[in-house]
Amino acid sequence: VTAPTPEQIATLAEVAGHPLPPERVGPAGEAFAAVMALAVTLDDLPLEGVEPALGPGDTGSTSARE
Amino acid sequence: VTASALSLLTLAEARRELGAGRMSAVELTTSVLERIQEIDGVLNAYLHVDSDGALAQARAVDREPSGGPLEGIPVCVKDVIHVAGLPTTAGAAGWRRAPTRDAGAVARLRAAGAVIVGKGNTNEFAYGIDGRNPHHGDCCNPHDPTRIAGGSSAGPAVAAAAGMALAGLGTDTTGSIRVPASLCGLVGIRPTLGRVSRAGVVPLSWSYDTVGPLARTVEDAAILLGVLAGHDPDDPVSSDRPVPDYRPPDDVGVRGLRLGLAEELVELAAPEVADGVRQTARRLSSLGAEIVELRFERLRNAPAIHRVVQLAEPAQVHAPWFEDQRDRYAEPVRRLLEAGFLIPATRYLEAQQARRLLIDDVASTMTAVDALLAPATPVTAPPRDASAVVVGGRSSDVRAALLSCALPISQLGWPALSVPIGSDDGMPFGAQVVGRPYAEPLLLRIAAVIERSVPWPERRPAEPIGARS
Repeated sequence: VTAPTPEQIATLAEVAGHPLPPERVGPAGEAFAAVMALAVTLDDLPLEGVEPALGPGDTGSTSARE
Repeated sequence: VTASALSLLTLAEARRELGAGRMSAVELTTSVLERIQEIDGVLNAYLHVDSDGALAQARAVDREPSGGPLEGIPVCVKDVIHVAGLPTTAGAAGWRRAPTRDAGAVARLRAAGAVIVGKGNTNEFAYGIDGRNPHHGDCCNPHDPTRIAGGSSAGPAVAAAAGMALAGLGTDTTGSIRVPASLCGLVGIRPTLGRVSRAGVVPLSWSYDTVGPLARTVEDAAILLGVLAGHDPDDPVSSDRPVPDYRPPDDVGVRGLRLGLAEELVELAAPEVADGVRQTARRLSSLGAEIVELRFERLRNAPAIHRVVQLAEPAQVHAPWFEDQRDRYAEPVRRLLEAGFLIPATRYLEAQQARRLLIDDVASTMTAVDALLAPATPVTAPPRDASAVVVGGRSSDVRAALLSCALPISQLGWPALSVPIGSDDGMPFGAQVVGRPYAEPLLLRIAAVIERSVPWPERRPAEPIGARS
């Protein structure tokens, strides 16, 4: 996985509505890149058509999941 | 029972003393407050002690006893859970709330007669697993203050373990009750999502967050869960299922149960912990349970799922105040939140899809057994200044190691508890018992058998704790 450039991180943060001060681009970018590198391990899973588990109602407390 | 020993009674023992009139709620609360005065300068379990309020609650109990199951029992509440009239700081530097209303779980404790002693230390915004806090000081392990307590529910755990409360109320997002329970030698329950109200709790990650008890014994934990469980109209995901009596019967056994040993998680543990879990399984087998070694195809995906979901969800929680508070966060939490804002929605949803596959994988494998057994933590409490631990010859950062056994289970939304099973060099460790949704009575039954068959002689910290620092 190619780590995003500082410019890409700054733009992403701007678009997300939480612009980063210049000195924060590096630390935030590092943490983001580490997580995205881990996330690609999920790419090989058969996710097509799978309903996301989106919270308590889905992951344990409803009769449908018991 | 001497006055100095009152604070070290179990909850059930204290209720018997109170009910028989051999001690008053004021005497018990005073003993706990004296204990705090004596040792919390070393352990740092409390961010706020409400001495006057606690004594007033105790006097009210003595004046008009109502027979509630927690009547007169001093409890420490994690400082992400609102207590009316006390500040909520979430262990942060400048963020602060002044609630006028109790959280749903606290309201239940009060209705049962509990005495709220104060607010317990936590990792900043519960976003951590070691109990360290750069703003208010680390919460230290009562069995050796040079070691971490585990977190993020560090304060309630240490208070309960060291006699600065008879029980604790914590939250468990990824392991924040089970990990400090394991490292401090307590029983800690992560209930089924929806079983205990989350209303009035500062969220961390809404699809994982739970509220649950920390206690010295299985019986105490069962009594607490019986009080805490139940529907709360202020929590939209709260379940309205009936609340059973969680206390295991005296003649409890495991004969006829099929228990799965989660091999991938046992293999993550240090030899002394892995041996402890396997010995526990053998003891349960000798008592009539059938032990089945299990492997789960999807558990290996849990860290990736967790990292994505638990970056995105806390960022959403903190978004309303983050820009104003950015400079007040400690660096580790600030960095995680800033990264969380960058997670694409598609990645978040893919992680939740992968989580569904993991849940379905475990559910289908679990049809062969009644419950799972696994380590709660792979190691005993590391030194407070350690940045890494070595497990099985491999170095791992402390956070990743402490989360490794609890994190995969947190993906399920199912109940899990930690119960002490042994110690290494005087430092305790626990086993996780995991079940299907709402299987808490079964888990407590198994834990009660473990507790009786694997006695942990150092359940109560050596005295005086301060002398060991």
